[in-house]
Amino acid sequence: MKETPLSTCERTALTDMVECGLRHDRRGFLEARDTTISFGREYGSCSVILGETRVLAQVTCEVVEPRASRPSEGKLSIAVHLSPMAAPHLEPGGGGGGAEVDALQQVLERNIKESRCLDLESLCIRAEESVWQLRVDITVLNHDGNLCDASNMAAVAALRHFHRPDVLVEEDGRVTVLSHATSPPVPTFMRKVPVCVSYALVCPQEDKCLVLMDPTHVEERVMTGKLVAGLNPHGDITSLVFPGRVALKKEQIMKCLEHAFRRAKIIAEMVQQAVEDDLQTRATEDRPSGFRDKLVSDEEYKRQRFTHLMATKVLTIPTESTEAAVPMEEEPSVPKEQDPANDSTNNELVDDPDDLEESRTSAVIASVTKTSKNKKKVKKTKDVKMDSDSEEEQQHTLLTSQDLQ
Amino acid sequence: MSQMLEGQQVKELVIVLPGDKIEHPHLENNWDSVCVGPGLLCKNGAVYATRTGRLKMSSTNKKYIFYVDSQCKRYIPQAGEFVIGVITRRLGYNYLIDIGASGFVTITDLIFENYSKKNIQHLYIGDLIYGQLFATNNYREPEFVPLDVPKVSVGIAPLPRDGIMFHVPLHVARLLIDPSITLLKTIGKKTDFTLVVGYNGRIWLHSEDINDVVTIMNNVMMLEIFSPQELRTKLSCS
Repeated sequence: MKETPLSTCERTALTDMVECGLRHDRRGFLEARDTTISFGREYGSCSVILGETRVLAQVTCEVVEPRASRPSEGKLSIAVHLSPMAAPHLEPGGGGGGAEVDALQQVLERNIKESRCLDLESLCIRAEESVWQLRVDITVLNHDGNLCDASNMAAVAALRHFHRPDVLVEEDGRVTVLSHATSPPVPTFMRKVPVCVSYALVCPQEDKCLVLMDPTHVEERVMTGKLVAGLNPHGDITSLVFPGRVALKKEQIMKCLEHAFRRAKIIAEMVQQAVEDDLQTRATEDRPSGFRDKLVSDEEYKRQRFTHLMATKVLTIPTESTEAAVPMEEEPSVPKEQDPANDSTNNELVDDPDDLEESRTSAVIASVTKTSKNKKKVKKTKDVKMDSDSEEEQQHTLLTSQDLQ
Repeated sequence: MSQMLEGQQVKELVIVLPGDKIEHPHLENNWDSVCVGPGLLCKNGAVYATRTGRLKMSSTNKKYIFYVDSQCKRYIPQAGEFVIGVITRRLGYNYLIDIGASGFVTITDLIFENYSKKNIQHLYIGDLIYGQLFATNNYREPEFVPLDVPKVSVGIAPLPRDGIMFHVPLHVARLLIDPSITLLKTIGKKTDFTLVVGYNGRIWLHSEDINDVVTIMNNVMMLEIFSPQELRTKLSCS
């Protein structure tokens, strides 16, 4: 099936909203969707739910001969499967989304394989003869944007969770793989936790560029460019992909990466915690329960999200009119208790990590004043922007066509 | 059910699965006053359900209408329904419009009222058109007539490029059109807005303040999860 065409109305509406500091699902610009990591019954089976995007990763292993160039190292291969189950426009065998699969696979390989986060030497059984080959199969169950982040998280969590069977090496070189009952399986050794963070770059006008983290599918269709950073909390950048038609200066990219590092810390902790929790519960139970009680349905997720938004009064139209025609300098008529938080988010990307766990009330903070001169009759934000670059900086540091001449 | 008659009462009966036989006192005799609607099939004098959903019975003075109200996202064109389409391609004088169904729908640019070859209404790819479907048939593409206001005038122009269009499941669109659901009126008390609902699950929304646009959009999307009564209490008490 072809993807439903995007109308001009949707495109302009979303860019206008972003220009005014709003996202269609009322998140902050640098706020990610709810993440849930759950594990299945088998070792190495992990499902990550990022908002409505769902990804399932499964790690399997096999004893093979090693590569001639690397005789004492194991092998790791990653395969991504995008099917019509994920989205109607994808074709079985990856026809419709061919470019997407390739891009996704490239990012994952760079992040996980080439970063050498997994200690492949520990997968060696007998040098030059037999090693373990780990294969990670990632299936996208639902595509609602930001597949890179979700797949990366799932693959890493699955690899950390995975336990390979124990082996018995005979004198003459025969390798016997022992069952889980005979000998407890051996965990993999992962030095660093690679994390992928995606930013959508939306350009409502030519010289203005706003950054959204964790884009949904709609936002991905409307964005002009994307920045996908693969990194780990130790400070290494494992991959950096910058597709699209946006030009950014070095300082802006550095700002994004600074933010990405903070986010990476949070995700890495989340992944490690989830793995440890699951391994602990597994030790106490006779039979692991797997995904049975842990997966959250779409309806449940939406219900939780909407209830939360209504509780923070973001989804109701205030009864007192906030639409008095006021000049730009006027204070907004947003509830006063938001203002302390307002100030802390004023310095984009130079602030403390608490902002990343920012409450959804920050969406209201994008202060709202009406400019009577505005032709579109939309409320423009004041200085407080939820994106990574302040307006003043943008004018100075963005490459314009004049710079290129 | 594309048109609700005046004074109609809708009663929800049971949840049915495809293949369930429907048994109801009204169905046994007086077949003249019974109308079997979408989701149901008459076979060998008995009525069977062909869809999963809630079986509903709506009754006016003399007529009983049975139908299955199911939740789905994929639109199947029905004659008489109003839909919002997106212009995707231009073939000569014809424009191909996508309405979310399996086939395209074609209109020419002379179809608008009061326009002739000299002062043609220019349509662009990506424009939104609101109109009514006629003569749907499994084997042919449906006929589509752009409208301005339902049943009143033939379309003057495509929908304005302001505002936002979003997708909802079909049962939400039907709930919005239902005259007994007062969610839109509750929102309308607080702010002015224009909403155009297509039976194909596409909704166009416009309001002066972009904050309100996002709020109303989310409120309408909440209908997917919450029932209209729940939503009304939640929105009016805050």
